[in-house]
Amino acid sequence: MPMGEPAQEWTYGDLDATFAKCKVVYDDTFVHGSNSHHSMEPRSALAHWQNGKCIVYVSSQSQSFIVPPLAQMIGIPPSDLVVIAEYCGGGFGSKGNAYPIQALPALMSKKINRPVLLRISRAEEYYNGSARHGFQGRVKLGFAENGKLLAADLYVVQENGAYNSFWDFRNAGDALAMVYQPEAMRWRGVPVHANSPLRSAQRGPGYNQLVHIIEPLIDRAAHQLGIDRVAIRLLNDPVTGSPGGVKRTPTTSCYLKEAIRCGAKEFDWENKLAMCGQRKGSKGYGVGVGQAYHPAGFNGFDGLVRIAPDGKLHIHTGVGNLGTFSHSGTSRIAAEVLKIDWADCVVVRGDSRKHLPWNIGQFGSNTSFTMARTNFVAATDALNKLKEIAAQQFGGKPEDYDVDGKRVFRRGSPGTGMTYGQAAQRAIALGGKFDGHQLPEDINPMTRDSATALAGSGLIGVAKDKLKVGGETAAFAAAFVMVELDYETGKYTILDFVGVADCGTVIHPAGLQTQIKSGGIQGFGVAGLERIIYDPQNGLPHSIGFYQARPPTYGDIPLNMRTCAVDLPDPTSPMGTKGIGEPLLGSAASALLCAISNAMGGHVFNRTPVTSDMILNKLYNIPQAHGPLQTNCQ
Amino acid sequence: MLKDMMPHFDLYQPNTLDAAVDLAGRLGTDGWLLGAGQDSYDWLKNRTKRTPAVIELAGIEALKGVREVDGGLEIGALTTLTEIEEHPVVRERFRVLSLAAGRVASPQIRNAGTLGGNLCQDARCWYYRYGVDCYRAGGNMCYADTPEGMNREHAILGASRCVAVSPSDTATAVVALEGVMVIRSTKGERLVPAADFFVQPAINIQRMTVLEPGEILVAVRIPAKWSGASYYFEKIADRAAWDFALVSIAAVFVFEGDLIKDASMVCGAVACVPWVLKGSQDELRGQPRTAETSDKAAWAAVVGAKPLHYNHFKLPLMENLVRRAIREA
Amino acid sequence: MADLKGINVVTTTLAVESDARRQSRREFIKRVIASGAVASSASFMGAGLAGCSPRRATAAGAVERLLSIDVNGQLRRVDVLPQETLATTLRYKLGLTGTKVACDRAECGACTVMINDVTHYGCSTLTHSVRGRKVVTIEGLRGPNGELHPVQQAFVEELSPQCGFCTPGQVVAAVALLKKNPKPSREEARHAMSGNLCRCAAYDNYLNGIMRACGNHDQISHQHVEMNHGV
Repeated sequence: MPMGEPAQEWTYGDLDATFAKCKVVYDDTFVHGSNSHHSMEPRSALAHWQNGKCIVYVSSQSQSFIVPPLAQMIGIPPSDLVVIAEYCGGGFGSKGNAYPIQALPALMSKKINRPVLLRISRAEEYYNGSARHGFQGRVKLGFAENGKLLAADLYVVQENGAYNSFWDFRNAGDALAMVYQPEAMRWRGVPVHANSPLRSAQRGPGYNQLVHIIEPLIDRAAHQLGIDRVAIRLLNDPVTGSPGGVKRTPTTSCYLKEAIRCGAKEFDWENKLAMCGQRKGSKGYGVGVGQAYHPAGFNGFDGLVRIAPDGKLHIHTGVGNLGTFSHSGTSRIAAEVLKIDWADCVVVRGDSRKHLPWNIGQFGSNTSFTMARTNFVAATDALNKLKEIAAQQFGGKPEDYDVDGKRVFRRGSPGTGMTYGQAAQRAIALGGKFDGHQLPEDINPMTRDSATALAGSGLIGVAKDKLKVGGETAAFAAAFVMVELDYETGKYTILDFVGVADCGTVIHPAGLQTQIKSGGIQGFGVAGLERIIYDPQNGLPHSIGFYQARPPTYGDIPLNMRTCAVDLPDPTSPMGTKGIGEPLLGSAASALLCAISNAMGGHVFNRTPVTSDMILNKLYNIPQAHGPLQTNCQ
Repeated sequence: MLKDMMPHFDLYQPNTLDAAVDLAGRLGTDGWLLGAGQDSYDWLKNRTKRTPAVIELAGIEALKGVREVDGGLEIGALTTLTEIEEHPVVRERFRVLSLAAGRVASPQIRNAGTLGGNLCQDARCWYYRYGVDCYRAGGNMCYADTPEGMNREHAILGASRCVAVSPSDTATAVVALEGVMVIRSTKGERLVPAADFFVQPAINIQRMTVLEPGEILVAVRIPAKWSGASYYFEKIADRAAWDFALVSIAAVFVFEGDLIKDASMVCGAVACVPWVLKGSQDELRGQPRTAETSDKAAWAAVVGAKPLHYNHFKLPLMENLVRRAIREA
Repeated sequence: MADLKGINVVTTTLAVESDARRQSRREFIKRVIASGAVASSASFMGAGLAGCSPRRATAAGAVERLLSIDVNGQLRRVDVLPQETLATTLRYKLGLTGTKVACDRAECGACTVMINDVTHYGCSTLTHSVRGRKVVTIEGLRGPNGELHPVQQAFVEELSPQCGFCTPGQVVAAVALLKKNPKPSREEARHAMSGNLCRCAAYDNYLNGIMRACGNHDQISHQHVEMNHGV
């Protein structure tokens, strides 16, 4: 592998000295294939202009977050752009930020002065809809005799596509440092533009590719050192406070060990392991455990709530709608702070004309952490204002008051108080900060505009999230997979799956299960099916439809999928919540790769995806069709 | 969406066979015969092929359904794959065909797709489907059979310039059951054994079947010969739905005690035509049903195979499916 | 004209494309040699089908582009091009946009509709071929007072959809399954639903929804453990 000057690099610890004390050292090259996002809805956008404003209907994971960059693409101030992003049609990272197809109809509409709808075809979706960054690279891992990973040296070459890119290659270094906690580590990386389809962030960008590469090597070390594969992970896993990345930032919470233990118990690791190695006719079993991580600590966005004169709580959320319902799931936090029935809440979303605050988009496994904080600070602001109004009316200090049942009342004297509706009317009468006529200095201009538009219509709670940060908040996950491998065909069936999330406090159990299962299935696609390839002779793209690019179908999943959550709170989220979705993909894909390897006596492919032809070639001692570092092979 | 709207064609919807035959004769190469269109629409939407006129056969009731004839079956070419999969007589006596029909693409495609359409579908080489000027498209090169060509799904046997494979799942079963194709044109009716219906590229590189312009496949006759025989069908594909076979096998056997009295075995997706395993059949007849016999049959199956850069795996896969068919039937 | 008896012919009344048809080089050369000229389909029609060209047939009123089709129990009159797919007609002419088009190549199932109670891909069905058959789309599943179909209700309760784009197709496929097999096992449902792709990968939730809708409650799979609650 060419190991020229990397574009970026970092090191911590004494790498050479640490490698020197290792019992086992592996030095391997690896390849991680690219796979498309395959959003179900081919990108569509509709735009028209009215009274100097540009109104666009877009397919987006984000609502407020894309307004400034999209306005810039169209060439207007953000305040002149109306974004309607009620439904997304699937994004998986490819619609997190603004993208040019959202802007094109606006520009065309301006030229011809009538509405313009742009809708791309499926084949075009495979050119423009972007794909996960592929990796080629080299990794050197050094283990102590007890299985502790002591030293790691990682070099990642990232395929960028024709333009645009994400920092998957950097994330890969962070993931290695965090998940395996080496004493010394060097990371080097270089992103390379290529004449191939657009790449962008896809569910667990870089973090997941890294574990797909490393987890099978951890298994190899366990095998060589005679250590159980669950035990070697428990030995290496980070804990709360473990440092991450070159900055050695401590995690605010990490319960990966707990996740592994919980999953091993649910999966029945010991007994399932005992079933492996025995052939049953042409078939045999393999089990695998995988783990993954995704930092999810974005903060500093604004929350905005309004208590209307009818007593209802309006929660304005600009987070977007990826399809995970977290716009509503995280809005419940405001309801909890104000102790108001969910039935008395209105989630205001989907259209920037509805006066939405500056929020993060729905990406990066951040929603349940970031939006918990923003909704918390806005609701807390409203709560304080309710108490202040009550204290003004009935005497005493604000802290003498409490809320419940849509009322604010004096502690110990429930009869002394007023309804939320009355408080809202009082806020309007008082004006100033109570009804939004006076706003905090530090909020984003978008939030300021929205709150100003709402001023005088109720009690306004609005605040920037300045809650404690105190380290790196990250989601972790573990997964367990059992496969039945058919040695005559190279095909495997996934018999069992247990996915475990360390996502902080569980606030929406059903939604969480959905994320664990579907993240797992997407992982199965990355590990064993999906591809985005082209003809090297003339550049023709091969993967221009679902059929060629192969996302998983109903028949490619286990009939029953099991889920677990550690359910221990993160201290930096007021509700204890942190990220969920992305590491489930990485841990499931890793577990599947490890299970296939296990069924093949421990053979490690050092590449993803592993397809039935590769399995057959290995089983029948046929040289693999691809070269050692070759990408774009079938 | 531009590429997704089909360009204009005139649509003819005959509801009698005579009318269809007459139209097909008059229109010749300009009359694109349409079953349920599950293959055709891709070509037309992609504009890799065009036609001024389409003759939709789906309205001809006489071409639908399964009839018992002389201990065998006559299956109308417009019978849907779902109907064949679920038909009690097909299931009971010619189950290999029912299984093959049930593994085509997806439920919706089987609900619409017809036996005739599945048998007559065009090659699945992605280069050819992309619209490049390859041999099969009338040009003078093959893009897949090159050192760098992406040819994982391509042929290991019987190639001649073109290395595309026969993609049909039902073709393997129909050939294994020694079916007979009933073909009509204005010149009358002719019968072609299923094994001779499919055309190798050495004979005609631009056609998958012997159908001449103006000819319509109207029915498939399954003779009584293999009725109730032991059977095996398996299709190995990447995904559980939609994907075409990497290798498939349809096999029927007559066993007498431990002896294999007769065998008919056909592999799909290894050659441009459903590949009759003649050598394997010869190895099996009169031999005991043992692992040794299976090995000999498996080795005979791949005699002459010339794998391409990316498809060596089809050799052990094909051998194993032969072994498995003998073992599991 | 006798030859066209019983044949529906659909064409635009505009001139037929002259030589838009793509031909292979070899085929093209053969044709040129045979006819001595590039055969335009318009002249071919005139010569070959003497007196029976689709254009004249249309003019004579034998066949019309104007079509009556039974959609969701209503007879809808609509002008349909010969090459038009059902998904196009439903979405862009009848306003039934619940039927989604995600691939337009029979590769995903977002456009699934029922035709005579059987699922078909609307993107891969010619509208002219559903004449005389009953088409049911997602819009046709609502109850008389607009209430959700039991399958839809079950999908809501099982949090089945995520982004929702494949959902109409999943609902229609599930309804068709339950018509044919009122109480499928989870395995049978998985097989029957396999022509519907979900990129959010909510398959497990959809299967739970179907199990709920058909009353197979013991096959709803919610094996979920929250560790801390057990401590």
